[in-house]
Amino acid sequence: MKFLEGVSVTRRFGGLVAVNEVDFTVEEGEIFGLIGPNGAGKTTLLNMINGILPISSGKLYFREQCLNDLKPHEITHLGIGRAFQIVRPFEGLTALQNVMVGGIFGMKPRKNSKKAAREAQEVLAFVGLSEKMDRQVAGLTIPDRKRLEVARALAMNPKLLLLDEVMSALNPKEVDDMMEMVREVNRQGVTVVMIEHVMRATMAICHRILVLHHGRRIAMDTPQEISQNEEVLKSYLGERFARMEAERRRTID
Amino acid sequence: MILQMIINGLLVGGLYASIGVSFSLVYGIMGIINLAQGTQIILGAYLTCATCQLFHIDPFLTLPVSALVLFGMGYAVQRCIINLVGKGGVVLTSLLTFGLNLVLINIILLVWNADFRGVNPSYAGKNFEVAGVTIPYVRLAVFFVAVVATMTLHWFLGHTQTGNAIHASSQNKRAAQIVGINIRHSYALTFAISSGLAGAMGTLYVILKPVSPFSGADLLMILFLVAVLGGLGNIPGALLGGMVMGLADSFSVLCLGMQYQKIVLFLGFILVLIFLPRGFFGRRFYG
Amino acid sequence: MADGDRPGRKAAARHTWATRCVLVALLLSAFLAPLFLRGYWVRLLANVFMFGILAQGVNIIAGYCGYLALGNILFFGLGAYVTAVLMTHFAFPFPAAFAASGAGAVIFSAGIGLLILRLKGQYFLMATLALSELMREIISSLDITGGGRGLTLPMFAGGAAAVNNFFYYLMLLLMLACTFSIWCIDRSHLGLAFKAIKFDEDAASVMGINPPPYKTAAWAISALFTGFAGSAFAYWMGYIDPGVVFEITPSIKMYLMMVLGGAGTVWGPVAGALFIELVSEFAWSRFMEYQFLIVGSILILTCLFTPKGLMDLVGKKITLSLFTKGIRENRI
Repeated sequence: MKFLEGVSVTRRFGGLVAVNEVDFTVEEGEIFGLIGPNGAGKTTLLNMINGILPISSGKLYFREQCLNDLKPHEITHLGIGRAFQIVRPFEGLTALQNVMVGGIFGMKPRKNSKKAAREAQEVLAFVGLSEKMDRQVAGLTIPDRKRLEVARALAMNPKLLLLDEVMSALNPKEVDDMMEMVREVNRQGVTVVMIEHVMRATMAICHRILVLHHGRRIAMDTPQEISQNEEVLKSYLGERFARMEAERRRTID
Repeated sequence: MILQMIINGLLVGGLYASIGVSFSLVYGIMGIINLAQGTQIILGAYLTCATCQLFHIDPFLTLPVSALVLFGMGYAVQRCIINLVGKGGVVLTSLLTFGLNLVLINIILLVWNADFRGVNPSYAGKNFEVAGVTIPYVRLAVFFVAVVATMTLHWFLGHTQTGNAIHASSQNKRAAQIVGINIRHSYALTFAISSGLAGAMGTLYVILKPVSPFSGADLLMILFLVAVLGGLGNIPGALLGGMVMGLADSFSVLCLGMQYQKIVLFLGFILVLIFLPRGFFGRRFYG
Repeated sequence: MADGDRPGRKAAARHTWATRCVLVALLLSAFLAPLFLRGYWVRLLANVFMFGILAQGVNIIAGYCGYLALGNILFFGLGAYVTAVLMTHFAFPFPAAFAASGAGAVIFSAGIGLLILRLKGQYFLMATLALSELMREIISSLDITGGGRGLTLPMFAGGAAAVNNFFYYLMLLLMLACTFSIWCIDRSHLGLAFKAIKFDEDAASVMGINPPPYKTAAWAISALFTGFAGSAFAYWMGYIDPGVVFEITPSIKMYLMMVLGGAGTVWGPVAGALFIELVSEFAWSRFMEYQFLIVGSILILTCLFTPKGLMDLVGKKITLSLFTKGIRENRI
């Protein structure tokens, strides 16, 4: 059974085609990267998987179930969690309460508050926000908010986690921490699809990567193959980086 | 008969359109629902009455007075009051403008009393006939002034530097600021223009019918409807919306009689919101 | 919990006990008040309680759920008319009419909610305003409702004091019931869902919350209490007409009370109702020509300086910066 599959997925906004007949498959248990220049359609694709944006044409399947006409909350109940790029925490609630929302409503049947609170605390500990759990969201720093986003998604016990640029605006050490966190989540059995611009992270932790450009898929392969793919190089990575990357891998092996 | 109804509808539609435009402008640029707009129009009307009484001039000539006074007031109000909570969301700004509405009503009540007032230009009853349709001079003049004012505004926004600055402020605040546009001033100017236009429309409105300090509420409903029909924030759309409103007004009187006119108005409004997802040209109503 | 929390927890515990004592004291005095006060004050307080119900009604749909139903007064009018018509034309006893008003309001809100709760914020606001105006016009033109002339209800049996006391306690109990419901909602999953929807409906839906049933529930509860209040009002006044029960000023006053007291809090709107109604009454009796000015100014000042309401100030040190916080955060 294919875990997550997209067949000729397309999204049009009036005359603009944001995602153009993209085919892709994600295997269960992998970390799947989604890269491409700004405006390539990555977030749009993620929004369609989530159900926030309707699909103009084509089909999306999650574990053989068609996602096309489902509402966001129904898709969430199937086991797909999402962390947004422009973080959207519930202002006015504390960090703990934010995570609890995901815990309580994220799966059917709803958990009770005590269980949700306990699990929320565990998740917050996992992302490293234990001391700040009773703080109002407004008082959290950007890296903390990113971690809160991930925590909220994790509290829903997803089988598939969609991450949208969770590493942007983080310093190198924070990026390392986040990378390790994503790896750990994956080790615990969660499949991850991540949009990322921080190349170092993407190349290091992803098993396979899909490259979008102007809404079209231009490559879907392992990081090594991608870094040597001519079209990708031209459009996005730049030759110099590819050379550096090839050099780095040779020294590791 | 039908032709008469159509012409009547269009003529008053011009006025409705302009009223809707001033509301739509503020909403489109700043995202603020100005619940005081109706009463601003009425204030313009009262200023016209007062000026006419004092100087015995033609009401149309008092238009600059209403427009300028409301322009100044609008600028001050936006700059000094509304700007202070501009980012607070629709709830807060709506409540604030409603507070302003109440204050304005009271001011009108204090200066003039609660009686209805109107103006009667000397040529009020005169009409001319064309193709069997009677057109009062007054209504025709009102129509022209309203349409000219609206088109001028549209031109101003699209083709002058200040106008472009205002547009930019709405598209992307931060980018506009980086380029050197003073947002506070742009917003204040926008509100001032909207208020000035409202004041001018008040002058025209009172030429057609008498007003009381509380007439603003009826006007508010009309301008909601016009602005929404045309697509909130869309000025040419509001013109079209106004025409449609005018026609609906006309025909509902014909078909259903005076007492049901308001019912048609409100019911129509709700139905438009529910079933016409974009007004005619505007953004989606649904979240 | 870390050790360092303990002094804080003790203070919090003391705080809770103090609050509870104050609450009990207030409740007791509310229940005993009619024995000690003159008729004028009893009626005034009954009015305060009625506005408390209306403000709480608005609190559920707007304060908690974020949907500004500016025209919520339509349920008040609906409740009033259902009771008036049933009692006048069909000889219903008051309790039955009262129940019918509540039921009618809920059914109507659920039905209409299907159509208009999907609208975005500003459109929903306008739709409810139009709806309340529409309702007023329809009622003004029907015969069974007495049209523009209004309806006179059967008199309440008993002297002036009995009337005052009955409606005082009715409004008080209704207000307490309403506040209790909100207290329950506030701590429940329902309340959490409402808050999530208010803060970010799309994010809430991605978190697994299906908004429509929750929004409908919020509006239905709001309608229920508002309708009950209208029903009681009709019987109390003995006479209603469309202008009185669909008036726009009470509509806005409810919002002012909610915002001033604290939207999304349990007791805020009640505090707001007390404050505003007392000020309103004072203004009306002494400064009638300035009443709009006063209410309008309070509204403006509230929006500028205490946008989160008075409840937000409770327990905090009173400094100037507390009042300018709203401006600093919301200024353009």
